[in-house]
Amino acid sequence: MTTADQPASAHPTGCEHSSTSPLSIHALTVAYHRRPVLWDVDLDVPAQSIVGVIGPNGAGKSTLLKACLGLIPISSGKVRVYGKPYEEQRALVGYVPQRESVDWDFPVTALEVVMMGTFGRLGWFHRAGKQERAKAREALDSVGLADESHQQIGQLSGGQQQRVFLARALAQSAQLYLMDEPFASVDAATEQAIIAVLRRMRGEGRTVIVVHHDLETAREYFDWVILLNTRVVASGPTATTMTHERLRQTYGGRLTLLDEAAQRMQKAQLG
Amino acid sequence: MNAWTWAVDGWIIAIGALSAIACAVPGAFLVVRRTSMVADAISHAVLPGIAIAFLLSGTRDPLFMFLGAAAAGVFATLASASLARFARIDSGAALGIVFTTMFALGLLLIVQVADRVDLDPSCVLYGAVELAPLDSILIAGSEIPRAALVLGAVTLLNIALAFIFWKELKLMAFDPALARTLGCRPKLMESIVLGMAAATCVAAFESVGSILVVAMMIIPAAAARLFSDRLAGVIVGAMIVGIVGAVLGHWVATSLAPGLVTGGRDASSAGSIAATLGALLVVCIIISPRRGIVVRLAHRWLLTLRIAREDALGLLWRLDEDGRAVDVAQLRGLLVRGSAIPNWLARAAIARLVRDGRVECAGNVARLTAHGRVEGASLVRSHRLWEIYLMQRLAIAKDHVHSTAMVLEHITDSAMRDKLAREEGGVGDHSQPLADPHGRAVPEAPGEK
Repeated sequence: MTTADQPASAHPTGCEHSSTSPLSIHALTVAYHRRPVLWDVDLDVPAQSIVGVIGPNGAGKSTLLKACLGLIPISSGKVRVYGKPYEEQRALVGYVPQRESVDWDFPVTALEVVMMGTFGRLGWFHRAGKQERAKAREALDSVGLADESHQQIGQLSGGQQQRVFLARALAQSAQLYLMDEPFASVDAATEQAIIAVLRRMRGEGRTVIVVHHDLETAREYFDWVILLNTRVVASGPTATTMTHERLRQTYGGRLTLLDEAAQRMQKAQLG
Repeated sequence: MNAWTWAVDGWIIAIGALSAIACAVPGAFLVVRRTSMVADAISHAVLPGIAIAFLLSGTRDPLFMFLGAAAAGVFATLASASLARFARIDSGAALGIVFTTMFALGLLLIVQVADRVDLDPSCVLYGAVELAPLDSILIAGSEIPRAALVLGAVTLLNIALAFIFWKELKLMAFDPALARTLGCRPKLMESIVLGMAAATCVAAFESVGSILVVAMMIIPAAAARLFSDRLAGVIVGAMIVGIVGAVLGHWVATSLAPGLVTGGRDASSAGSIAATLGALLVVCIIISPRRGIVVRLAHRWLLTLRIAREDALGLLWRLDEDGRAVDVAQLRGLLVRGSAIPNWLARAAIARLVRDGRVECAGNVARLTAHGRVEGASLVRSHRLWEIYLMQRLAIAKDHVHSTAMVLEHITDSAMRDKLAREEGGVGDHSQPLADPHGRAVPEAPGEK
């Protein structure tokens, strides 16, 4: 599927900061131990699209998602979700962390994990009840795991575990989703199931941002891509953005001068 | 050895059981998050806090004790985090350094204040649950030990907190990042678990001692995890294991140990309960329904027997293919050599096949029945299809495919055989029946193409 399926008006062009963009990032810089891992990121993500974040290892892809969600502190810049700060729009944003980020030996069933997606809307002191259970069942069903709902999550295959995470995101009923490598080490059938769900979400008007590794499938899956390597190399419609030259810039030679500057910043603070 | 007096022994058991119930809640969260070390750290680190609270207030008022312990707990948490960062050591090592240092400091302080306040350093380690019933308060006409009241209060507090913040606590324990994005305050929830652990330590400390507190927090939860795949199940299971440990442990201390080891005197109840909990965990490891040693051994034994039976069927089918007949003893010998199994196992496998009507012994000759022939053909079909697949798709040498196929044939069902046959049907000559790399025909299986 390509951008041809999308109404052209859905894509704002260039870098102007639209207030209605699901995710708008301005001059974002993030540092780990004072060493910058994201420099001066400017982004506007178009509504109702599947967006790929693409770049080499250590490019700051996961960091970008976590910074948007307030999971790690940002050094400078601002993030706007549908025009407002993330803290005010929490309910509109869903997050699918990397599969390795949790302990799959944890004593919960697949259904319980999916129900966790509804906890944000429930709020304090309310217990999950029939409605949440039904919603979770529906979400599990839509990723093809209805029969596995009462299995302890460690007994599921890697692909099934990833689909449980996706179902949890569906149960969250957000408008904007940030997914960290949902396609990592899953079987071909799961990959197809996941992309089908993402397309259905887009059809319902949602926006999905996906950290992705595989350049081969990127062209097929994404309407829009963000090529990232510490800074944004390019972002735009997949067909015009994923050019050979830009991929070379993204994956090719590191910016040695910037690296050196980052190292000095780190040293200066520790010394 | 004394007969149990329920006014005394009953209360000792009740106090042990209450400790178990109170400890189960924070203990289960610490165990499922794989941070059990924290229970150890908190139970030891609170000691100087309690000693300083004694020094300052001069009383054993639980409120002062709790405040002192809470302050020490917070200090220990902050100190180990800073130590990990500035001394560049892992968090487990930092925790270990902080809590042992604080515990030693606490012991020193307690020896210093022991003259002024009624507290015995050895009490801190083993507790004095035997003496707890003596220190009682008159409530509604009945004497209730102070320790039982304090533990009862903490038990109620822990259960209430778990109930009120159940979904937030569960989410924090499983996926703190998602908890944060959903606004479920994982840091606050973590503090609640640590607070529960600290309060329980302080409450249980005086009566059962620090060793038993650690044992009560970790062992029952670890044992319950072997029986339940649900968080609530782990908590309730931990309560049950803890209560059983308390009852059994006290019985060991008063009835078993005096006759065996302590020469007629009662052993320490707290120590016996902790040791009993350890023994209970071992029992759970052995009998756990899914992860237990018994179940695993049984599975392996059943699998070995099934493979031996299938190998015997395949062997008889191949002998039949060559027009050879063997007696039972010869069949057993071939099976022992071909499948590398002990003689008794081969004997058991063949006996079972005869009993199930797959093999018959006419005269002295072992032969497949019609039923056995169908199953033997399926096995040989699986084996030969795999040999072809391994050679053609994986380019494995002809003289190597047999042993791999020997393994694969036992996990191949008819659906998988169909897939294999379709894969191989696509390559090669369609006019000839499929043949394995050694030139033998792949037998047809009834109902399969």
